[in-house]
Amino acid sequence: MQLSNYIKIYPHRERWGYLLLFSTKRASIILLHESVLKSIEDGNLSSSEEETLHRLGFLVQDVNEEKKEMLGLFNEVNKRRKKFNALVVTNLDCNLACRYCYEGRMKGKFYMSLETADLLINFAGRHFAAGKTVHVNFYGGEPLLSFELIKYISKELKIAAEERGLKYTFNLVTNGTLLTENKAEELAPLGLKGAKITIDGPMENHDRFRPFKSGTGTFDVIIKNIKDTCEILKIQVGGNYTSENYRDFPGLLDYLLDEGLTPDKISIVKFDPVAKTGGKFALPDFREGCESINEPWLFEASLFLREEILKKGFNTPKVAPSPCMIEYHDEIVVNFDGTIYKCPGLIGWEGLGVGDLRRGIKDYSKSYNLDLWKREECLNCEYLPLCFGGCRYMKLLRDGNIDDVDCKKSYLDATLETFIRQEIKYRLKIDRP
Amino acid sequence: MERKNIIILDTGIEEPFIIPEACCAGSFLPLMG
Repeated sequence: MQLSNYIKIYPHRERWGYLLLFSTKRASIILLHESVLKSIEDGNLSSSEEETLHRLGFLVQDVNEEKKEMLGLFNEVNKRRKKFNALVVTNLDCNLACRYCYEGRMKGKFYMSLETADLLINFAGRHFAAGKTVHVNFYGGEPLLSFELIKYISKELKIAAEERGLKYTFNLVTNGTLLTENKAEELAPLGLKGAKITIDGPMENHDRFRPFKSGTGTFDVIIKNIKDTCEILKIQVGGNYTSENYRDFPGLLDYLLDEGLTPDKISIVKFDPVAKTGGKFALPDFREGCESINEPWLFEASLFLREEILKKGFNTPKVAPSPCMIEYHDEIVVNFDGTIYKCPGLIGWEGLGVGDLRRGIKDYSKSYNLDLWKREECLNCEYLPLCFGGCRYMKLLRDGNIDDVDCKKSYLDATLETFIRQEIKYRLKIDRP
Repeated sequence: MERKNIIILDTGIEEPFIIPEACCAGSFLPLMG
């Protein structure tokens, strides 16, 4: 057997004679004695060690076959996946005036009609017939401005699911200001599992970036709503930072702890950089967003914030393969008017609609350049499973096209080793030598 | 005491190629951090 193409090998100074190995394909982590690498090379590894390393993704029969497998990976995944996921833009309206909103000038009093909701119910419901579960992320604008519509869609889909012994669940991607205890209690029996709520750091910063349209702050309202609903729903706290303010974000974590919003009450905390707004929808006054994952300040910022989140005991997603939703057949974005896209960032962009709820989905492999990572340079890259060509939206904002990959190599070179060491330090059990 | 050549810290994703969730809505830079 041979070493997989998709592993990283780092020194491990804490235990003499060992190396730290991470499989980017399987997200497995091991310490390996240096002598084993020589045994692999010489072909005299013990059968039990060979079996273990193969099972964890570090050894493969043939690296060229492994590359071929990567080419067909999503065909396989799509065949086997038993889940339909729709991100549904219930409206493009909002009660907030966030400074960096990427929907910017696209927003207005645009709401999904009952007729479109019926089309959505039919479209999603057809997946039950194929034995799939259905999950919806209600999105906006602000989805809770469409509270009655969410109830209507969810009641119908829940009934359709139960008739076939399947599951319907949904989440909200919400600013949190309208998520009261009463609303959460009303939605939970219909399948509501969780809410992703954005808080941009401590109050002063958050209220500057995410105020009500009137200009007043939203921080206190959101914190109260989280306190009132965190026993009913899984609350995920997100936050969008810039190069100027990310150092302040740990202050939010301290505040949450002081307020009793401890890690058992918040399912996930994850902070992300504000992206540059672009195209015809961009807000003209906002210039602070980043346009590439490879901007050097982001290396420091993402390492720092992840360390702080873990250090304070909160949960955050582990380092694992993270393909874009465009790779999955059964992941779609539905705009309020029933147009279907493959990425929420690309809503409204000319030529990037992939169909609609009435007529279905057309072939989007060319318009989204699906195969752009299927080339030697990417197949030979150990980071491929963490990248798959990167983010089409960022590429489009930066260069005005999605003709090429949005390579993450510089970012992963600068961060991955430390991310893995953070996993070991805070989350994995290891016998200290 | 016998030396362990392989110390497993995380077994990772159980089934090969069944990848968890796609990146979360609204996060266009799905960083690990």
